[in-house]
Amino acid sequence: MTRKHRFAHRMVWPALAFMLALGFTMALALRAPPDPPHAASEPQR
Amino acid sequence: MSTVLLAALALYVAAGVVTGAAFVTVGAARFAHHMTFTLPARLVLFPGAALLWPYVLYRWRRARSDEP
Amino acid sequence: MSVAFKAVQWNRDKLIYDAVLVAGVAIYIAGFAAVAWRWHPPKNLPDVLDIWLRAFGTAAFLMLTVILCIGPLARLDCRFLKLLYNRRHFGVLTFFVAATHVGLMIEWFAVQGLLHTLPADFTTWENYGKFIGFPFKTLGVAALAIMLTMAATSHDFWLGFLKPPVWKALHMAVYAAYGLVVMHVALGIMQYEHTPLIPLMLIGSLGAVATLHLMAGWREWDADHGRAAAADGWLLVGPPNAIPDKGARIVTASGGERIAVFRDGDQIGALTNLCAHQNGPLGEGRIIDGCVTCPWHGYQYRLADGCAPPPFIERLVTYRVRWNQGVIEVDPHPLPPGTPASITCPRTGA
Repeated sequence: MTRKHRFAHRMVWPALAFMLALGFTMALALRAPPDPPHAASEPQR
Repeated sequence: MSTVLLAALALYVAAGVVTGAAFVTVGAARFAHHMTFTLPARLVLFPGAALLWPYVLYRWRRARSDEP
Repeated sequence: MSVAFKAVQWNRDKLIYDAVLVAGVAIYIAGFAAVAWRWHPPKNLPDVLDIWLRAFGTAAFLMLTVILCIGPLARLDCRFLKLLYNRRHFGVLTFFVAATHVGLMIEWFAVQGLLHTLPADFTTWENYGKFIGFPFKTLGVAALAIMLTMAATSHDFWLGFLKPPVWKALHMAVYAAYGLVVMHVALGIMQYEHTPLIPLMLIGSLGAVATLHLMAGWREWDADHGRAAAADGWLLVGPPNAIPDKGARIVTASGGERIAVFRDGDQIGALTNLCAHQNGPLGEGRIIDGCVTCPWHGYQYRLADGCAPPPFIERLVTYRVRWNQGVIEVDPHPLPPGTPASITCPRTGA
């Protein structure tokens, strides 16, 4: 890996990792509450 | 809409199968730098050639036209 | 490096690696299915398919996680280099496991007569504007397409055909595939099932991948900034004993270029840390059969002049080294590729 590559990597990867962590956190925070047991529907795929 | 997409995908795959088969049979040797291919190696190269067929075709044509 | 391209360049080590890999994956999938079977006994065929679907899906995700952890692990501890050598086979197997997951999903729809509803999951365009409700299958298919491209171009022939920089860039897309798979799980099954196991699996995976990359990056950053230079600009490497025999110590010039200073008994030589093949980290490799051997794909160079042994023609940039009052120093100015520059050191005491 050359010097320029290393510099680019050090800039880009933390930003991408942060975006992914943010995406996961939002998906966890925004998910619908669990259905009451009697209304459980066919599992979706 | 999905029918159109599926048809386009099928066309791409069909063109890939034809180009890929031709490339691993006669074209790949041009890029092998004097190395030969065993038959299993040709089979292993086929998916890549079929998948990247537009680029493979471009490089193949260019290599042919560069020949004296 | 034979005169014929073979389907797979197997040797004894790689065969053992592959056997352990396949056995590990088979044990995981069988174990997952056995536990799930007891936990939620299937009532019908779709339930059975569902168990296998999840077994293969989680296996592919965990394999992808391990693949991404191998790189930084090998940088942190050379014992993990063994895992790095054959990572391509790991990647190809991951593609097949992921493809089986997709095949089982299609079968799950088919046995219920719902196959005709599947395309709409991809073409309900208004869903692409949502976050929760985004067509998560599209994310999975995109990741699979990346894995297919990587698996299909994993042969050395494609490395030569596409040229190393393009090939390497293509294969860096594994990180994109990983991100897509994380969001495929987070926006898919995690939305419908409230078991804590799914978020835990994602957090564990993201944590492991991020932490290991940060640790490896930190170590490199540290190494790049901690090298003292002599008054005439030569860089201190250390006493000969500080360089492992048949190994290297990597020093970094002020501009950031890395130099691998190798020792083979009493012979000391410095080469660029970049392998001519694919810019692999030469200094993390060993001297095997008298040649510096790249840890990535086994390309070899003579220590004395940086040339690959005949019939190969690759040549590396070399650097002058000197023995100065008991320590080895290296001149950070590169010599033309293939210039002899190694020295014999008086008594290394090793």
